[in-house]
Amino acid sequence: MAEKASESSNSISLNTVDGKIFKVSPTIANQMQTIQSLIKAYDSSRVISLPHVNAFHLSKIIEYLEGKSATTVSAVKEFEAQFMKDLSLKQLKGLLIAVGYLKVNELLELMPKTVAKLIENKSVEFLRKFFGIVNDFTPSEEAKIREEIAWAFDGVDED
Amino acid sequence: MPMRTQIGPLIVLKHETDSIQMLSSSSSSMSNSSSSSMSNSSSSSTQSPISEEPVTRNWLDLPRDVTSTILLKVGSIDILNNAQRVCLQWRSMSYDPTMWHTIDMRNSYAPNDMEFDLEMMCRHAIDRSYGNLVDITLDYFGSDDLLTYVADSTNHLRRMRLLSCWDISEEGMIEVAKKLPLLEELDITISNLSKDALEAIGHCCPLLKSLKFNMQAFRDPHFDFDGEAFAIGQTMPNLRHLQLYGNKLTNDGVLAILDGCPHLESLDIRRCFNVNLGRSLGKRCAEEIKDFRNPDAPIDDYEFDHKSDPESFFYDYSSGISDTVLCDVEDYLGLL
Repeated sequence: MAEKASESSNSISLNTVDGKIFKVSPTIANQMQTIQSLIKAYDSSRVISLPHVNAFHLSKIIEYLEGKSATTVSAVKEFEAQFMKDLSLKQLKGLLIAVGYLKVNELLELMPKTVAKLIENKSVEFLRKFFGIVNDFTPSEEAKIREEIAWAFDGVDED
Repeated sequence: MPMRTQIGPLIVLKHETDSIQMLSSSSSSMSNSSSSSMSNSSSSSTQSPISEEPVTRNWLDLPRDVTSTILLKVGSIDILNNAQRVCLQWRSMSYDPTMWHTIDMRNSYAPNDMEFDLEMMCRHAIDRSYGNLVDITLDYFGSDDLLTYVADSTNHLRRMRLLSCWDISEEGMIEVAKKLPLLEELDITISNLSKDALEAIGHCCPLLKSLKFNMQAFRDPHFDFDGEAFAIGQTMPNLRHLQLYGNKLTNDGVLAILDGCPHLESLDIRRCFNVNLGRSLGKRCAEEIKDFRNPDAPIDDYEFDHKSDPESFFYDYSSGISDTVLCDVEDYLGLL
């Protein structure tokens, strides 16, 4: 027991919402801004509970933080591309929530960029479908938006 | 852009004794990985493997700031044309003035295939910034009137990029420069502007640290012109970064820049075919400039505007175009 305690004296224990404990090195933990501020504020030997992060998301975040320490710039790029490719759309959304909550800055740059590429220049209907969002505008609100969008050549008044 | 994710009082700390119990109760399943080991807690009776998240989420669960970041990366045109029409929440976000501190009107429309009045759209975007515009990019549209509208809308403009803005005149730029005292970064890539505009900018924008003044690089016709380089050397002593792609300057121009801009950290004169770096000038550039790109340096990382004149571009640089951009797009599409 004593041995175990000394072995883990540097690592930080994180408890996910589905009850799994992860032990991570300070280097990894410090790249999650939310955790970092808690370590500073409290005794790091305590277990930090993360009510909004499940084990799958935390394991992906750790996988990213470990993987992106590759040696060369091109190796990191390759790793990042593969990392994003391996995620389903559903996973991508869930992971973004976890990443936003834990404030993993590098993923907060990479992931929105990837999503932005996917939705660039896409129609309103595509966006709703892509994100599972239901149109909640009333007809009069929609008419108002159409009026506002006078820059589309279809809707431009001649005078 | 800094993230402003809101965090409520969501994190609960547990005592060490709790965690030791939890760890020891399932120690047999602990992984040997040093940096991240994992075990199932005693409290979770169903031990589901880590594979897929259980809950289906729609996009509106995302923190507002993350959604904003995504929309900002998609760009102003997409926000106005599409994103704001998706749902009430996105519509209200699109009216948040902080969404318009940066207006990025880059687009992939072919010149003759413009579906929108980009200038009208841009004015609308500027109106939504409520005087807080900091950073604007115009791409293949814009006029003196629009530039004046930009400058009159804000006292905070620090960065401006004018990409293939053919309709902006030397006189227009000279007038507008007077209204941009805080400008730190300016990119004029492919334009009708020349030394008079640069002089005015140099005089009116004392904080200018980064200048890109790029042209289409032609070997022919042969002519020398150091006017722009002299204007820079004479009026922009605080410059840290300078890119003069495809300029017609000569060695005299390079010297004027080195003498006039003592703080220069990077200088990019790729495709400036009139510069012949002899021994002494080459040595001086290498010694004084941390990041120096000579006229013959590779151009694969140069962001050129493909719409400006593709034929002449390919004629000059048939081998210099990176295909990584295309690969990226294919990768991303694989996600769908």
